Amino acid sequence: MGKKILIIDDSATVRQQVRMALESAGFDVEEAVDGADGKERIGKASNLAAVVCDVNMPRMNGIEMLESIKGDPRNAKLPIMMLTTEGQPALVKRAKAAGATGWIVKPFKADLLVAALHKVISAA
Amino acid sequence: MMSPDLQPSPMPTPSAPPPPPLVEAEVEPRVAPAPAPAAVAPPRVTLGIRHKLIGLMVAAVFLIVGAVASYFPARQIGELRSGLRDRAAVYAKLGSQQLRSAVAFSDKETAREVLGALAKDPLIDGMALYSDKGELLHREGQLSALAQKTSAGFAEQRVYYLPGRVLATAPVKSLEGPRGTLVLELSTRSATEARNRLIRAALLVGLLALAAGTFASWLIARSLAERVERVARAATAVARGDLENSLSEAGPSDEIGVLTHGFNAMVGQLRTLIAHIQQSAKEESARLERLVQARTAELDSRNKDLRLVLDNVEQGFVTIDRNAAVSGEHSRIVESWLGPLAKGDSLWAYLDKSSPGIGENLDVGWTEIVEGVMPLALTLVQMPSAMRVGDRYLRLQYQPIGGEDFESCLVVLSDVTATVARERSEQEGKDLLALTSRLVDDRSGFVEFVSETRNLLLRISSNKSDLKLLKRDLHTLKGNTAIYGMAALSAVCHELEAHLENGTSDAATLDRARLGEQWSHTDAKLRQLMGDRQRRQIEIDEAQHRALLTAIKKGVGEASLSRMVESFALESLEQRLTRFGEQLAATAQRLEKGDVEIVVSAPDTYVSREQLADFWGVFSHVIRNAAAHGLESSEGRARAGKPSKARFDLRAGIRGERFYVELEDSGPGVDWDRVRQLAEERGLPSRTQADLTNALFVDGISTETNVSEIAGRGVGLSAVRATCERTNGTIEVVSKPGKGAVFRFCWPARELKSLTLVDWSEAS
Repeated sequence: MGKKILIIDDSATVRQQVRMALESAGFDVEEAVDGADGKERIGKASNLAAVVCDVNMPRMNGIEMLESIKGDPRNAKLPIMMLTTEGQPALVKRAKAAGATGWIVKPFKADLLVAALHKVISAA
Repeated sequence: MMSPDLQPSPMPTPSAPPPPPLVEAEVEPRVAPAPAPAAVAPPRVTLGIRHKLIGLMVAAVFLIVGAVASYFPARQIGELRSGLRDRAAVYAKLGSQQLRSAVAFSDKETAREVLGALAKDPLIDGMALYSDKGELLHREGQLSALAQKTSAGFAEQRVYYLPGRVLATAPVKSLEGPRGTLVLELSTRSATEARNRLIRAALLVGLLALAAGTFASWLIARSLAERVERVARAATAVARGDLENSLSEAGPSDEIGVLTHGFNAMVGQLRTLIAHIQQSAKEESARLERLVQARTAELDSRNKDLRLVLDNVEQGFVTIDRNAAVSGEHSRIVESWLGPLAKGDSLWAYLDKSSPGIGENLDVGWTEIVEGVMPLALTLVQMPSAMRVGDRYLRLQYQPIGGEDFESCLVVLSDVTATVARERSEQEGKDLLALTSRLVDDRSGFVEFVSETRNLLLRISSNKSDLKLLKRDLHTLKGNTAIYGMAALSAVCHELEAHLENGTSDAATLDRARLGEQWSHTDAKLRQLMGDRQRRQIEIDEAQHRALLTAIKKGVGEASLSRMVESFALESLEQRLTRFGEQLAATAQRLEKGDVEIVVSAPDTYVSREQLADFWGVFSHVIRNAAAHGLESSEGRARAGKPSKARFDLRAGIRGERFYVELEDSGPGVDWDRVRQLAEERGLPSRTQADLTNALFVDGISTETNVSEIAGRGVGLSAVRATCERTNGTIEVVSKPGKGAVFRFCWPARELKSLTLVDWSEAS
């Protein structure tokens, strides 16, 4: 059993890309289609190693989700990586303020995502 | 006398050649002015030479005195004893002669006289004369028991040396015949006393000699040892590094004198040698110092050259610390590009002055790098890599010095204006080639595209207030230019859209300059390329020409002929849809979704270009939408058990009272639940299917949030709906989950005045 990563993105394409990258690196992947779904899954899952979360999503966007789950002390140490598009420093600042561990600009290289996950998981 | 070996060596004279240098060139540049040998503690003297000497001499004197004091008394005593024996023998002989008569006649009186005379000698303890019958004739003094037992006598005279006495017996032979025995004992007391006196005297003399000898030894040892100790102390001082003191050479010219002299000579030699070494070291130090100065000057000169090189390449180097403050030297060219820069300045703030907005991006990226939560390889990639300053394009590269825990980072700014210009020129060349190819293939369609693009650009540049329209126009332009292969222009549109989306710009502040720039290059070339052909022309192909000729020859009706000729000025929908089909295939390729099959069906249907111009302008969005959403990835299609090549049907025609244009895909179908969800979030009606169809065509609603250059901003389809509504058209969406969807656009056929059906079969 690999470490479990939750990918929250409303784009099936992105979820698919991330899943392929992470599964081939030995992670188990769980998917959520938006912030609300992601929040629910984080609440239910007890063995998440990290979360990869998009920013722009319907229902509840990534930053709102981050703000709502980081209040829970159980999630204080859960690494959360935000997926952003280029040139959004304001969003990045909000995400970091809300407790994001790091941010990755889309499109990203699979090996860098995997390396980043390994690093933040081992530091958590 | 001095032995020749012990002659002191001659002192070095100033003219003597200096000893070979001990300090070679590789000596340290700085030499300590005085030698500082390690201070070795002198060994502790446990039994000094003085004591040894005294001990030895005392022992020698003791032995000599002992020998003398025991030899002479022993000899003296021997002589005394010998004297006693002789005296006893003489007395015995004398007595035995004088007592002959006493024995012959047992004359006791004579015996008394003789013995009495002899007994006057104080040494005689006792004497007795016995007859041969053992009868005592006379006795003087006392005899020991042993002496008394010898009365029987011996045949000849005998003398015994016994403890404390000397016993002598002598036979007395009378002439007359009778015999007797004379026994006498002499005391050895006198000899013993003499011996004792001698021993005492010898002891006294021995002790006196010993005392004198010891005193003499002490004197000799003292004078020797003191001088040796002086030399030893001086040697210890030399061992400590003290070469300043010399030994006094006053004193006897013995071996120690030679030693002292030799020692002084040695110290003198050492002083000379050390002075020489110090001199050499000083010279060497000066030489090395000169060498270092020369090298430093050379290095400075080289640095200047390097600096000259650095300042004259098209790259600027700036070193920053972890706070992004400029920490060291930087290339002059940076200042020539971006203005004065000082040590300690924040590089990000400095760059932001030349390219407003980049500072925040740099700051955010740098914070991530410094925090080190994410791998450096990732955070470095996410740093802004380019900036534009006026007409200059600068590339930014970051080279942390020291890996993950770097202390400083080299930022390399490269002027890539020429590269960017070349790339742009190449891109423009490619774009132009694509346009030319389009122009050749479909001249009228191309003319329309150019005309529409110009109109869109005009509207975009003049629209400073209507954000919604601006977004839509940009999106349309992006799509059209992408489909016509004008990647550069399409990319600029995408960038501007991103600014509007992120709120970094609005309709009033959007920097449209690059859009105009990008287009003006292409447009100038297009004008050259197209020239007068930009005017509308009517083209007919050979088949149409032949069909018309045949129809005339066959004498078909005037109405039919008229429709044929009218159709020449109209647009064949078959041709129009084929063009869109090509765009769809090209878009699918760009989305890396593989080859698609396009089936076009619009037989014999013609309509004027003007009548549907607006619709065709936005139909591109439907095409892009189909490529993005109506087409799964190759893997997705394989999983769904679909053929690897996806099919799209583009159809147009008249059905009943209605003219329709439809696009059918074989993709996953529309996710109505998702559309309903989105509509609810936006507060849009979502109850009926018509509501949902409308919602699908509302601005900002897109089921695809992976915003790409092709589609995904939810802008395109709303433009389609707006156009349809304006032209009295309707939209129908029929979705078959997992199998595909049909997007159908209908208009009342009677409202399309130019709509013409030509039955070419009449001409065949």
